[in-house]
Amino acid sequence: MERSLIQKALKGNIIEELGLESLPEEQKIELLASISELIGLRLMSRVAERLADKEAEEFAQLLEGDDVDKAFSWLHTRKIPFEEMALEEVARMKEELRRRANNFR
Amino acid sequence: MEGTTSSQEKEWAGEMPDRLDALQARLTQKGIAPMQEIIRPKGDTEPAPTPRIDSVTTPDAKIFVHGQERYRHTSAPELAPIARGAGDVLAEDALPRVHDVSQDNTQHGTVPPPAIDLRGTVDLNVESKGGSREALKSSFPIVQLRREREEAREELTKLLNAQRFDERTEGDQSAIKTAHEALYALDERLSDREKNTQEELAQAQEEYERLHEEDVYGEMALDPAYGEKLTKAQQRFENAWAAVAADDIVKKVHDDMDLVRFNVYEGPRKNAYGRIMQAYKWFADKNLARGREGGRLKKMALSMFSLRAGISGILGGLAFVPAVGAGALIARQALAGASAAYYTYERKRQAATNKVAETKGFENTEKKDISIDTLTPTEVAEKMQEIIAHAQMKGNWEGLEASYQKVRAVYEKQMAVAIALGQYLDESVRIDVVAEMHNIARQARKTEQSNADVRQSASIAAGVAGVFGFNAIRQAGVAHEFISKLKSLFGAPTAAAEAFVGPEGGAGVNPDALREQVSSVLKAREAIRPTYAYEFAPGEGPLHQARKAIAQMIGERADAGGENFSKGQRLWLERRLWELTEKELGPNNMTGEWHPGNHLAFNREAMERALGEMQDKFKTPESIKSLDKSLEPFTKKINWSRYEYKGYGAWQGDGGVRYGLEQSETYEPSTQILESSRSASPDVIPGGMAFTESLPLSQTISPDDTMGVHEISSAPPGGTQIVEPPPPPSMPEGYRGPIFSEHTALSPDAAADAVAQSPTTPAPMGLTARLEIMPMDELRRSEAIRFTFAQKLSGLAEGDYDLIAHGTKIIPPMRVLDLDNTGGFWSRRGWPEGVRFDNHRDIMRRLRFRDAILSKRHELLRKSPLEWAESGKLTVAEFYEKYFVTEKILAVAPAK
Repeated sequence: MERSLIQKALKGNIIEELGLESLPEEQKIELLASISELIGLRLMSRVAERLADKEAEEFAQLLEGDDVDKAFSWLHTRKIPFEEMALEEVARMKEELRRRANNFR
Repeated sequence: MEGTTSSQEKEWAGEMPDRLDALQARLTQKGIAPMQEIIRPKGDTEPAPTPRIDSVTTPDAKIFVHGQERYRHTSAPELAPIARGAGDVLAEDALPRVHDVSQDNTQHGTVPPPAIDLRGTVDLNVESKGGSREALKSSFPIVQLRREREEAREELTKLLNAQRFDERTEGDQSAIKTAHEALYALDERLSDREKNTQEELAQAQEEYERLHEEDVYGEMALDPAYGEKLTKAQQRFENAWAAVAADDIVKKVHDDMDLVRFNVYEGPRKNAYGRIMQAYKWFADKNLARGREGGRLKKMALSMFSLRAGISGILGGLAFVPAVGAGALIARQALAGASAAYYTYERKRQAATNKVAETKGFENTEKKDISIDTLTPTEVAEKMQEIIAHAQMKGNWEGLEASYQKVRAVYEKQMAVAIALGQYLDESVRIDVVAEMHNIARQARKTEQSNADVRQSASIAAGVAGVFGFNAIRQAGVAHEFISKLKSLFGAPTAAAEAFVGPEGGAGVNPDALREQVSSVLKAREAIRPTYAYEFAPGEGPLHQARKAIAQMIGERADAGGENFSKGQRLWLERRLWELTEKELGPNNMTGEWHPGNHLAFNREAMERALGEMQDKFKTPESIKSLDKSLEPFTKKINWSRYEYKGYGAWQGDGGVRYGLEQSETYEPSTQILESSRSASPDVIPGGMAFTESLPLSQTISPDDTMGVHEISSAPPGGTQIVEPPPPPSMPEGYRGPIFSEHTALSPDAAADAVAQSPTTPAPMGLTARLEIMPMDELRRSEAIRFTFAQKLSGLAEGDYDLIAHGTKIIPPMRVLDLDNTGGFWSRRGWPEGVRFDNHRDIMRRLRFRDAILSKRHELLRKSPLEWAESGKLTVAEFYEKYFVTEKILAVAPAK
């Protein structure tokens, strides 16, 4: 995704952008957590796509270790732009959900 | 699909009555009534022979035929083979859902990582109960129903001794039928839920529209009872819509999760994917689990450092976008910063329960003034709405008008600060940051620094502190170092910045770590600014933007030696930079059509190239002197003080440029600058330079290209005669606005822009030059142009006017009488527009638009009550067209 689109997508509060302010607070938070969970899964799938089996194991071990920063640095050395991918996934998800909500208008 | 073996069947058949009883009890407990009729009575163990089950898959359901009966399975759990081969692992009691680090002696390679459990979502705010089903309870009925359905499937899987029960499961047909019936019953409950929410939405919409229709003459708005009814109906409508939309989103999210899981566990590289997912689960949860013993606050604080919480923070809105591509460390810090937004969101949520009490007592405006001033923009906006609601409940504004105006004044002031800082002060900039920004503004006022200084120091400081926290910087004992870094990276620090950082001292923060963080983020801010990008202000052309870019480069890069550049060199540079950029833009070049609000970016490569060329060509003092002399007619026209670089975002919020017209001088095309310099110093700029020859003769008409104007300032000093932007050569002397002629075409957008900008405000220069163009009759005739014009004239953010005029699928066009209501459009983002990226600035524009119309209405009431009553029947767009647009068009081009 183009960086400016990502930045634009990241600026708003997703709950408000979807027009869900009137939901009960616990539902808002649960929704946020669910969406975050999905983004995390998608993100990790993308990371996995870029890694060979051995590398996947190595990365998994780093993630499970005490110094998580090492895991991200490790990705960085393999030219896997984790942080950029994370933002992309968030932006993409926001866009998908906006479109979805818009179907009801 | 695997079936049961013969011996297993026998064993299973023997236990079937008990097992079915247990299942019946569990499902009945959950209110699944059909099961009571379906499950066979105890003792009936003889499996009835039944035909094989066939299934048909449709886009949204799976239908299978079992004997004479049809069963329908909806949604996607069929795609969720999580339990394939791992049914026991997924039993709740087998392992804790959230792996508890605090009780774990994990050393890599000795203790296996937690088993994968990606089922459902983890609610960050629900205390995990070590595998209890309670931890999975959802506040969304539809999620709960789906979970129950999946739980039932698991039960049935165990009962049937299958790997995963689905339509392909073979075995005892009677039992399978029973199992299908159970799932079918749950499917029905899901359908019922969807049906109910849809029906509620339809009813709520009908009620809302009916109430609107009752008020044919617009008189009922004055009736408090009616107003209350309408507000309630609107609230019901909003709630119903939110319930439907949320259910749909939840459904999508869960279906997508199932798809991801399917890819992970069924794809060709399931081992690698599964391993990473396992580790991710561990990583995403461990901080949450670590905080479990420390109480809610500690848990929340710790969870701020988990990836998932970081994502939540970004979803909640992140004002300071993290450093894309600037390294994993920065990303992690930025995600943690994002989590702060999430944290404050939660904190605010808790505070929200006490809001009602705070709405009382607004009649005592003086007492409330102090607290109002310390509220965040969002809270102030809420207060405004609360006062409106209060007035509506009372049926009048007595005692509230003054409060409302004060609150609104505070709101607008805050927005002005936010806009000046170039920040989006929406929900994402939470209490802490906003409060600090207020402090900055207050301290800056005290130190009587110039506005530019405030802007410089505050925006940098807020940007950095937005990620790390203000107190941390103060307490880490690196305040002065921070200032010093600001100085080296962004120019001279100001007293305001020092005041902001405050005294050093304090404990609890590791200075080295913070020093590293501050350094990283400053570098990151630099890294994420790969281009020099600027917004066109009124009166500006692309050369103005190039001039800003050159000024910024000189201000930021001591190594370029820019401080010593002469004005002639700077002019040469900006011209060359624009020429390179223009070529690069290619078909996207909008020469002559730049509008205020457009953006133009110059990349670093073009800057470097222009700089290199300039330094090559003008090496000696003589050559520079010669260049200066040749370009003097142009450089003297420029208001150079406007282009003194004062830090990142220096020209944000700038009001644009105006020009003093020197009537004795004549217009000349832009190419003269380079031509002139070439002829004046032929040995310095050899003839035949490619870029010179390639400059189009019909270059964008920009004030600084002309001999006849000189740039004065964005805010004209008293006594100076300011004129509108100068016309192209064909325009008559004294030109003040767009010129229209026959036989030429213009887009509605450009025409509307031109008319909207004149005669009271200058038209954008490039556009003015191209307005040889618009037949006035066409403007009067064309509905599209009139609409676009109205849209521009309204000053509303893009799309807002369209929504007001045309509504949406479910919301009718806005009527004038809607303006008297407390509808969400004027104050809240997200409804009805929803999908737009809007902010408080948009709200302010809407308020001003509304005020303009209400003011006109009051004027009508004074002049002619009859016309006032008639105007109440119009939609807002009709009203605006009648009382604003027509008036404006007539002012520009009087009817013949």
